[in-house]
Amino acid sequence: MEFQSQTPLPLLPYRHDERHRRMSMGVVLRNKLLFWGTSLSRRDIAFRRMRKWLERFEILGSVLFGIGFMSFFVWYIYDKGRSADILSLDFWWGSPELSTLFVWFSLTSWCFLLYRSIARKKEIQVVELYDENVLPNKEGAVGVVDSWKQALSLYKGKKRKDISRVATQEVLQVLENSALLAQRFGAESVTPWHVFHALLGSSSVASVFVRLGLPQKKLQAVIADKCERGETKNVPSIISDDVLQMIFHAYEYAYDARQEYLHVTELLLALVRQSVPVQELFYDLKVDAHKLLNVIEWLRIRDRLQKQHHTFQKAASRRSKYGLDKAMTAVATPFLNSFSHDLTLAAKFGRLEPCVAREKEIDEIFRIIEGGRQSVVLVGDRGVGKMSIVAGIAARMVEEKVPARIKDKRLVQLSTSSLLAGTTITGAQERLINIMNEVARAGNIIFFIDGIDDLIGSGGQGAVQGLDVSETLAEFLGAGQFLTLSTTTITGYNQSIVNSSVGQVLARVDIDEMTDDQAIQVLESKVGFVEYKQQVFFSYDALEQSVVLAKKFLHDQNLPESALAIMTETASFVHNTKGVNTLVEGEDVASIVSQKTGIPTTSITDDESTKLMKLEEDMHKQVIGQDEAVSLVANALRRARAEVRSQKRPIANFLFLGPTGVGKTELAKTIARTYFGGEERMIRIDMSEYQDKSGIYRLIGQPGQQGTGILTEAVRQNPFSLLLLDEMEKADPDVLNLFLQVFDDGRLTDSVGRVIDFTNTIIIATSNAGTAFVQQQIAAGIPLEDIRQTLIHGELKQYYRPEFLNRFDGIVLFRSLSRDETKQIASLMLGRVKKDIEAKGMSFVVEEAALEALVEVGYDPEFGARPMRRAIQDKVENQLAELILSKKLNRRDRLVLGEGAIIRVER
Amino acid sequence: MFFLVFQRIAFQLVLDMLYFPLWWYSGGLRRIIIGLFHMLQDANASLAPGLWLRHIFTPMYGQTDFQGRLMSFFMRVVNIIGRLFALVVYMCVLFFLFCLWLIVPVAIIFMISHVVLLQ
Repeated sequence: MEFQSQTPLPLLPYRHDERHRRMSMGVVLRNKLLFWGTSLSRRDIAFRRMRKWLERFEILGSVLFGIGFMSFFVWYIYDKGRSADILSLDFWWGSPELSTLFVWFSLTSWCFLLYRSIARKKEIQVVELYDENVLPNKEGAVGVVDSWKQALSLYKGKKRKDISRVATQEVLQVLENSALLAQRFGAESVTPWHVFHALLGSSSVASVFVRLGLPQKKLQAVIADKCERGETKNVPSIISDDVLQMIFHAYEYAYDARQEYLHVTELLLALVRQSVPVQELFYDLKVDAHKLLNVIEWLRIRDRLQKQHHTFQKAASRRSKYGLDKAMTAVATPFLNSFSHDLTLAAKFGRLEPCVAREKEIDEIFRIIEGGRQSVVLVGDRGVGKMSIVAGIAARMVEEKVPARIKDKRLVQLSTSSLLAGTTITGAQERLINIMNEVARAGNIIFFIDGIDDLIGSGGQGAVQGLDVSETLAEFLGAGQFLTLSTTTITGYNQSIVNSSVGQVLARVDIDEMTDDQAIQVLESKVGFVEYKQQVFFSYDALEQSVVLAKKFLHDQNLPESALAIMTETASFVHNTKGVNTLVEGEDVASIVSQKTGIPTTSITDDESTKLMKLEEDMHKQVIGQDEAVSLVANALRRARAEVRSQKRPIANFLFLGPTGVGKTELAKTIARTYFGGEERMIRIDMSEYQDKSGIYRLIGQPGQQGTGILTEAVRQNPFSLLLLDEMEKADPDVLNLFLQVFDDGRLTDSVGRVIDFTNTIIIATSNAGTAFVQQQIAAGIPLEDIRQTLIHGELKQYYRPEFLNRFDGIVLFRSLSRDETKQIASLMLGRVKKDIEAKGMSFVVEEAALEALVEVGYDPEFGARPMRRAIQDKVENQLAELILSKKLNRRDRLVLGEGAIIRVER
Repeated sequence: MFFLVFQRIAFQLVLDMLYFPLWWYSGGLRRIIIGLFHMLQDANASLAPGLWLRHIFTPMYGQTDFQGRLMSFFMRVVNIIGRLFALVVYMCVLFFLFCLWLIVPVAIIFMISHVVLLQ
């Protein structure tokens, strides 16, 4: 992603003179004069730094004087033996001694301490409140106010805003350091490079770069080389235009993000957007805008969570821990309490996890509640974070940042397990009615049911058999006596709720799976805890990979849960393998995903790339001949591994055409072994079993029944596999139509509406169609390419429709095997026999004459390699079996398969 | 330059001392008033007599029968009085602190001059 560049702000001219050093840069925006009111001259910076020491000195001094005067007084009184007198009025008022002056001096010192410590804390100034009515048209003022004189006369008092007062100490220090650096280098002006160098010196920015895997010192050295330098050192530098734009843009970012202060993160963002050379540097370091923004967001989330924690604790301390509202109108709910769990109470004691990136959904729920609806159901798949949204609502209730209708209320979750424990279904129903009555009476309860479809017996996988309380629920919810929140899955909603009486009263809120960015933010908010527990640090790459790989490879689960699981697992993996205080990198996450799925997800190593480059050679060790087919497949695999392929289609679709026994299936097995790591990764479907239309339901599942589709289930469970559709031409044409969109879009919807992803499969269809024609043509000596063309345009149309054929990446013709190739195959097959014999402690040698003898029997151009297998069975394996059973073989014997395929035993 | 800065710092120290009494009755006073006001707000939020007053006729613990209502009413009256009293006491303490702030410098100067004059 490209870095977004900034539209220049209509800045007032920079005033580089001593007199205006506290109002040298400014801009008129939103009908206000924004100016930077802190001088960046060398002398002022030195003064400010000394001033800090002075403040410490003053505070220390006043403490010392305070204690000193008082101690002196005590010592004096004790020394003179006048301890008894100090309680008399006369001692202080009637005829006071000079020594009492020490007490008054001491008090003065304490007052001075109070004065200095309060006064040094500057009164908090915050960024202007975001005004929705002011359009973000920041260029609105162009041409209106362009001189200081005009600006100063137009904007006075509250119409002026010193943005340096809302900048954090860190920002001030960064700008001071960049000005000092420019002077040290003798630069004419302070450029973005100087600011960047100084930014890297600040701890929070340095931590950003650590997360990005860029060491701070090394980067600083690179930047120092790029900084402008001059001959004369320590002359005052002016602020360059880029830096001016940067400062004011940073303020605008803080304003847009509705932040209270201007942080270094905004400065960094403005810097990157302002300066093209800095962007290029980032580009070279493989950091794109998207990455940088997400890391900056990480810092912001950390800050925000910390701040939230403080305000939350304050709010939580005001909440009753007995579940009562402030006005004590609520009724005690002893019965409900034994079957439920108070979420607001849990939130008050900080037991719920923070909810991130779901503000939109929470606001939607609040809007529905404000609109007068009583019951809301959150509909979303498992793992999308429905419970986290409810936790977010509980936290907001504690903070009282909720609509008036649910202020000062309790959010209570029904515990289905306690409801059912030790009772019958009717008992549970009775309990539920009692609970509902109590909730209605209490008046301060928002009732929450997690998995409401479980209580409605008609459907839902998790539904408790026979328990159907939809009528009871509908009765209470419909009457609108109390507010209800509930959650359910999409299937649960469709099967149990939508047509039940409860369905009518529940307002539906869809909770979609998070986008990658949202999921990354969730990980950013939770990574701190994992880091603390496992004592490792996460790089940004590791977080991003957790999300990207989880989305790509863990199809059964949803974001963010799947990514969180991977992140946690990787942390403990790194803790155990690399030790504590190490950095978790993207590759670590990839290797965990690799272990879980068996798919190569780590980046291509040198070893692997050599392997990929000579893939043909490797494949030929198992497949004899068929050069065209092998190279076609090898190319597809290389494209897939290097990720230069369309991500919206299967890795490759091939149609293998050829007579029986020429290696079609063997090649498919070889692919499964080389690319997917094992033959068990091959899903084999014999299309001859799908000769009528009912086959469709066997492939995608019976309507309404989950998990019954042979094809869809297999691919859902193993999205990374080779799908072998054997003898394609035998299937019903309607069954073939099913594959049209699989080949094209890489997706298929099963009988219950789940979309199955085929984009990580290689699909190979084999077919004998037109074989006789091909044999005939080859015999007539016609080139293979011509035969293929005739086949596609003529012969094959009897079996397949043109649009079907058109969707294959390649239609590969397998030739009949030559005599020589059959011989090589025989040698391969005997290799397997050799392995068996060696396992028994003997050696096995095959002579050329033996191969000749076998080819003589086993070569049949019409039937391919299969007759050879039979020949080996008859001629070799039978002999071996006899030898073994007659106990004529001993360990260390040497078996030689010689002329006439007869086995000699040598000792 | 060091000398210049040092000069300014020394000057600043003198300025800080001279500004002390002025600050006490201007900026400092303002900050103290704001601080005390926030403390009062916090106390009001946790004692909440106003909320009790608004609910004076609402029965407590959902006891909507006549006896319940009657008892609630009296209970609430007692509560309102109690809470108001606590708030008033707290306010007095805060006011005392405020007065202390005003008086302390004057008192110190007065006592110092008193001791010096009597000697």
